[in-house]
Amino acid sequence: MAVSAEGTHSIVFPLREAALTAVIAAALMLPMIGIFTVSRGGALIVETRLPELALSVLLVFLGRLGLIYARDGKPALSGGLGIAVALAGWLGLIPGDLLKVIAIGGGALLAVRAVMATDAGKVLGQKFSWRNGQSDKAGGSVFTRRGPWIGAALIVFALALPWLPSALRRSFRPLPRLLLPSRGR
Amino acid sequence: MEYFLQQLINGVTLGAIYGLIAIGYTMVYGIIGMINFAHGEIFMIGAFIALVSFMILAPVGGAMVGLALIIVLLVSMTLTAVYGWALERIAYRPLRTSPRLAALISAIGMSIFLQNYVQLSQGARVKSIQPVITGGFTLFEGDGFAVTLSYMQIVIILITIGLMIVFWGMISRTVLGRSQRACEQDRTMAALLGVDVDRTISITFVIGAGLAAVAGMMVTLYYGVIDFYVGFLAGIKAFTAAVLGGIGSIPGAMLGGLLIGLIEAFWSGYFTIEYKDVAAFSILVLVLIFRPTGLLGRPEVEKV
Repeated sequence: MAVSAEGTHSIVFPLREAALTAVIAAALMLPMIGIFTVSRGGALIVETRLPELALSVLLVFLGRLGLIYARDGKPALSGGLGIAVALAGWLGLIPGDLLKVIAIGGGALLAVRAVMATDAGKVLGQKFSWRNGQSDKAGGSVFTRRGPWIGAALIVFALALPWLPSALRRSFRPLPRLLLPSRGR
Repeated sequence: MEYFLQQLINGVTLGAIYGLIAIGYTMVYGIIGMINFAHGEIFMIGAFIALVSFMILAPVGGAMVGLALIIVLLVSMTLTAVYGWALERIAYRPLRTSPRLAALISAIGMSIFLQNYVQLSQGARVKSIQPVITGGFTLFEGDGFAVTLSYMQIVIILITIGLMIVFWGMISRTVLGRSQRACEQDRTMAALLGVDVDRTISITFVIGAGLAAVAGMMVTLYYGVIDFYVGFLAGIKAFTAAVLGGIGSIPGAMLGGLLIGLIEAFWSGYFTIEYKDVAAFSILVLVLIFRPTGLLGRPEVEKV
């Protein structure tokens, strides 16, 4: 089956751009994440964390690829990638707490970005954008008018943080125990 | 007199390091009118990359310290320059048309991010290495006090002078330097005349990060101790140096760095080491009261 030049371009170009980003990310992360120094018996020695480095670079590659797809009007591909990465983190396929959180958070953001790239999302985005220059005009933008509601939603999000996956502590001490000194003291 | 000379040598060495960092602040301010508060962390990353490179080269570089130093310098400059480029690309370029406050908050955010990134990846403990360049000259002795000039201090001063000459030549005699000066005067007009403004700004960040990496390597070698927090105070001091010399002025940054280094060294040597930062910042306050544009800064003239 023949593939048109345009089709080849649309497949190769995002991959090439994402690969370039991954190469830069590898250069940035190699001396910090890939190689690290530890003190053993009073002397400093070098150790490596190459699997973590490879995984971090892979996450950057997938994230960039998803962003390119969203930018190029392919929200289904972008959203699919985002959900896949987030699920991989959620299901524990990615080792390490930090990488897991990055995968879930980054994947979720990518999925949201994909939704914003759909036609409905674009309309919504324009409505809420602070860049549309309406905030100084009479009535203000939707963002300005609904600011208190968005603030309230963010407070709800903050309060929901302990229930999110990867939260280290889910149990709550009763409020009086936090306020009153313990008997042991 | 001997003690005075020793403090002078120490102050010049310290001033050279501050000056190299201060140039990064002043160049970025000159071109985009923004204080890059993450520049101290770029310096810290340069120091860490130098440390890691040294540790890797330690087994092979024992006999060839000079070659190892050059390799570490090049690796550190290159990788830190990539950090500088990425910082501009991710945190500042998208905000170029936004209000200045947004870019400032972004800079502070990047500073905190980079600190935590290094803390997580390299650990929170202080890293110390054995001295790589040891020995020095005893210039003269008197009253039981010997004035020494260590090889490390010579290396720091020579590298700084060499870099300053190269840097000055680049700014005054190359196309890139001319583009930078054009962007500094008027970015819109420079763009209309065919200067690639985005590229020029990126290269400015790259150069600033490269110089900060050299300073980072020198601090690693000179003091032998670094941690993830080392960029904060050094960054603040270098920023002070840039303001003292006149922010936006490259000779001013070097002069400011030298002044801060000398004030610190003499105050520590003759008064008390605890208040050396107070002395440096007090001089800054006094200079800014009587000369708000700094020592070599030019007042901004608003044309009507």
